[in-house]
Amino acid sequence: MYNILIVAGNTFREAVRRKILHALLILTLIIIAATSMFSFFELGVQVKFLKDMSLAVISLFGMLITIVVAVNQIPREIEWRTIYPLLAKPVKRGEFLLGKFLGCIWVIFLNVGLMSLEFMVILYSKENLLDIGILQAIFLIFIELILFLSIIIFFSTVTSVPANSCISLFVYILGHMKSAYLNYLISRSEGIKKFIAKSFYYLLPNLENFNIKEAIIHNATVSVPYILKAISYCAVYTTIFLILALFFFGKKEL
Amino acid sequence: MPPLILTEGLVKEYKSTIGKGNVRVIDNLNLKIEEGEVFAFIGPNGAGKTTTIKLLLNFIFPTEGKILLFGKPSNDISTRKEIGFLPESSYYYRYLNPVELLDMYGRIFRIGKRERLKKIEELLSMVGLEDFRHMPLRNFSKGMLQRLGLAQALINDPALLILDEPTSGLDPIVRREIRDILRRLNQDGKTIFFSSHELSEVEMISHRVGILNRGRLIRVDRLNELVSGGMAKESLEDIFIRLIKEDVDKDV
Repeated sequence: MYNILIVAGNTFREAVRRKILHALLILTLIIIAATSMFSFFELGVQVKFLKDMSLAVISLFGMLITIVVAVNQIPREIEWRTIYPLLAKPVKRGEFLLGKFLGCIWVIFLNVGLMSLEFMVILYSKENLLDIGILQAIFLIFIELILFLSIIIFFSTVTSVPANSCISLFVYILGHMKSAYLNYLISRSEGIKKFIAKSFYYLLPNLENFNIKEAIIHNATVSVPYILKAISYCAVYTTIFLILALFFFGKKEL
Repeated sequence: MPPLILTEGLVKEYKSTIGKGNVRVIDNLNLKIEEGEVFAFIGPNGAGKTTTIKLLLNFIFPTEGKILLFGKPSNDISTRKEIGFLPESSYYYRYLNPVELLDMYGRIFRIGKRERLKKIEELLSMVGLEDFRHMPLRNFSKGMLQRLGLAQALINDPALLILDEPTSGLDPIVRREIRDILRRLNQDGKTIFFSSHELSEVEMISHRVGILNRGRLIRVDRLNELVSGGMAKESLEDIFIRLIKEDVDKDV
């Protein structure tokens, strides 16, 4: 565990010093701040708009930051040969991979945390209250990003960086359209097309399980069992992707 | 005491990109490195020197054969506690500085904070980087990175140093500095296994030499026997070229 923490700490330190991450974070903070400045709605509508936009921005930029942070983690270590001195020391490959995963989680947590903090401060200045539903929505976005991260880490052990970026983005988009689009495809297609659509349906995680924006915008909250179910769903998929990543990385020739 | 490095019948093959079959890059390699020696592993480009080192450290996996480090299988992680490794053309985390890098590596070996900081200062001073301790590594020259590479390889005070081309591409001043450091380390009892192209260097610091060509170990001998046992006044470079040519001719 100690080695995992060392690798995670280094991953975090390196990531937070990268300029591209600073740029993405600053851009997100500007967009969230700009959202609060729309004053052509009446106050109630403006707050709904603020919640809708801000949660969408946190989700979208959270996804982009996850890709930027994670997609290159393992390939860059191999390409720049920084992995060699590390694995020549008493560090197992599994510890290295899990350290990378944990370090990325810390970076995502920091970024989502800062974006959320700004959003909450703005919301508090408008509504004068802190909505528990907002915290639930942000927490589920964070959980979703952990699952998404495990997918990226897995693909980074078996594909190139450009392929991983495309596949991960594809998985993210399809994961959000799964219930609507794939159900439609399954009902309309036959033969091999139906088989492929069904395979995607059962293999891909349904990322819409983590999306409770609609409910929150309308001042509703979700139940604790729902949150627990979402956490379990994330845990199961993340574990599967990490086990696959550990398997392939363990066999990878460096 | 078992040999620090022992390989028996080591074979590494890659799938051929043209047609069927495999390409054999390491062919029945038998090596035995004893405690306290400086062993130079020399060969032309593509001979399999780096591949052998990668096999020793389990970065890649053998097709056949056995590798033992300190008498244990090379995939036994406990062997790493006694190994220091310098990769060819050292690259390290660009956003860190030397102290941060060495501190991270020191923590892996569970060296206490006070001892770690002391060790870092000693190592930076030994490799002449004490004035650059807080400079980001992205601003380091190749020679500075190589010296830092040597420092990180020594953070755990290892019994065995595995160095891949430690002086490749460096200017004569840095080459001499590194050579002097290696000599001192060997005098302190460290075993050194290194690959090199710099035959003059090999002549100056190694006890035994292994010549590798196309994955085959064509000669292993003590340096003085290799040089004095050949034709009169032959340098190591002459012997190296002659042996490689003979090996190629044999196949033709």
